[in-house]
Amino acid sequence: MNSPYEGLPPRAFWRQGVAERTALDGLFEPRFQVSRTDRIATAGSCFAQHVGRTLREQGFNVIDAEPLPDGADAETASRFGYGLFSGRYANIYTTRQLAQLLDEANGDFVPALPVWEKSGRYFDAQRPGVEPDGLDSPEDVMELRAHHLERVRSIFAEADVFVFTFGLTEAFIHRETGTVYPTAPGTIAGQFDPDVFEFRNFTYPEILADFLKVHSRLKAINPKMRFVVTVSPVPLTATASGEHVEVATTYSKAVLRAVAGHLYHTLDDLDYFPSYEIITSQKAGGAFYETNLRSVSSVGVQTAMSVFMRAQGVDMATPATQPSEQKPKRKTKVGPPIVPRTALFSEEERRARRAAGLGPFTAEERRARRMQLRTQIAQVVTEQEDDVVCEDALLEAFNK
Amino acid sequence: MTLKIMLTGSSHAAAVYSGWKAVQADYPGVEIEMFAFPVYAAQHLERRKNGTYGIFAKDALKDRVRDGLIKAYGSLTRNLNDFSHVIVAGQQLGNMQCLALLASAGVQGLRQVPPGAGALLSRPAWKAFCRKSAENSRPAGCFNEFEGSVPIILGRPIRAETIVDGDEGDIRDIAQKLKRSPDGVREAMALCFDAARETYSDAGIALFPQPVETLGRFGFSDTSFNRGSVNIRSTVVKGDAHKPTDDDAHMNAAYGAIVIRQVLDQLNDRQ
Repeated sequence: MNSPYEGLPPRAFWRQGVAERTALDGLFEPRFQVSRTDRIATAGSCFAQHVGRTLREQGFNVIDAEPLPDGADAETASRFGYGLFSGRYANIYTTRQLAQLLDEANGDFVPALPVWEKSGRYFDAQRPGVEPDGLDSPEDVMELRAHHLERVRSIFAEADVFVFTFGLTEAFIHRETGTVYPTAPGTIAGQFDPDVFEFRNFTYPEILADFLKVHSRLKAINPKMRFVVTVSPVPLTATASGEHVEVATTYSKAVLRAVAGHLYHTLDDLDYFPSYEIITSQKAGGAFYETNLRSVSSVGVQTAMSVFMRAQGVDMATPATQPSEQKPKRKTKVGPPIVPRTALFSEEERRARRAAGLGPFTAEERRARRMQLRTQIAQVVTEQEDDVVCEDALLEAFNK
Repeated sequence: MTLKIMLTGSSHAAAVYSGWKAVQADYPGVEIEMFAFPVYAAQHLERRKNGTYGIFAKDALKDRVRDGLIKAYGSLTRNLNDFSHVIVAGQQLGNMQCLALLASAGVQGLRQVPPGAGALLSRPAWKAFCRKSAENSRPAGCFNEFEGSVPIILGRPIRAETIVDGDEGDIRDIAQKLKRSPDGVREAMALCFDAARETYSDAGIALFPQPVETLGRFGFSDTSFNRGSVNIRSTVVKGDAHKPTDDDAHMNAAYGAIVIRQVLDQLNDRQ
């Protein structure tokens, strides 16, 4: 052999693997299969919402420990943090927060300043966005938190697979106790006092140690638990590091990616899914982002998730591989929703008609109702396309 | 001064009208004229120029029903300018969605998380869901067609609690779950009705949801209010207000009396 590169598959070479590729197959070769019977827990930054939702839509058994019935309004549910992750913990941007949540749920940790106030309303400092209007009293906050922690325990007691998306390295912590918060004090609620809180940009060793602690704790609960980690391709909205936001983003993502890489190479029960690489690839030329160059477009999400699904043996829509294959922005054209004839009229309407001695609904009446229902369904679908909560507003204080 | 009120809407107006007949002696100076239609025909109600209101589509009603209504009402149209107030009965408020939510969730301070469920809603979250259900059930713009006199809207009563033994799977399941864990359901529905009232109030419309005292223990209408229930056919077309139907969707005169008293007392307060 003249060179160690001789005989390697095309995926090992940039020209064939990236520049000239026509499909994303081979980018992800899963270390283990995730089956539809596996109970999957999801957590992490906002990109994890896409992962969880896609898995659920494809019939995977994603745990929802605080579920609402099917008919509950999706927009309202999302606004109050329901259905986004396996628990109503909202976005968990840092690994330190994840470790802290598990410690708290297990009774090993009590966060400092757990309730933040704003304009006479009270918020859970660990997830201030899930009650957008706040609650009447600190006691109400703590009661809901106690219930939430009980549900968090149940999630990890039953999970077979834990999917986590690394989001940020930057956070604010309580100086005295080290309690980490998902948002800067003073944004949604609370007040920023530099004597009480401080900025922290978590380092590679800290993040690695935090995740290994999580791994160890979850393996103690379920020795067979497996892990799938991803790195969020969503850049920072703002940085408090003092660096340019683009430089800070690269640093943050590089650290998180390096941690994920190390975990992949050292833990046999952990897989790394390269959604970060798919979305940020030079091949995509930024086309998997919305016009703000930050939010991941629905086409980007679909492309990344279809790679994951195909690797798991589930054939979603064919992924796009380059910008020219994409449609400009969501609103993916689909056929009109199918409304079965039996669902056109309510039982009450049918009964009223029978009571009036009238015959079956006419073709014209059915057609009119079908069009009406299709319009309503289309509106709901459009709303649901946008229900990922990234809480950009929560980070505004970084700019101050 | 005489208050001349039109009672329109769907078949749920029948209970209100029967109730009015029972209490009208207490309200001298009030006249209520029934002008409601079966639900399938009520969707054809429209308002035209100069305040003319009613059913204009000739084929909206079957001959026999139309003849019965014309015999009762004189014609299928009215002039809204002849009335000081219009009451529209039978408006959907999405209450069944709210009950479905209660069957699967607790509400902080009102109701424990039911066995097998996982969500504990805060009161703001619960109200937000109820508001949304009411908003989603409100037909866009239709109430704005009533120029001059903004109508008073009466919420459609929740199905009677006998539904718990009925054959409609989804609703029966909800009812059975709530029957097994009924704590706080009535209190939660009271908050829900407040939320619906607020959504209508925000749009400048007075809404009277179902009176909480007519709900049974697990949030469906108490059976005492659907026993001898009435509808358009029994009150108008056949002219037999006393013929009971006992169906679980419509209520009786006792229910209607409570509702109409609430409306008239509020109108009196305003004046």
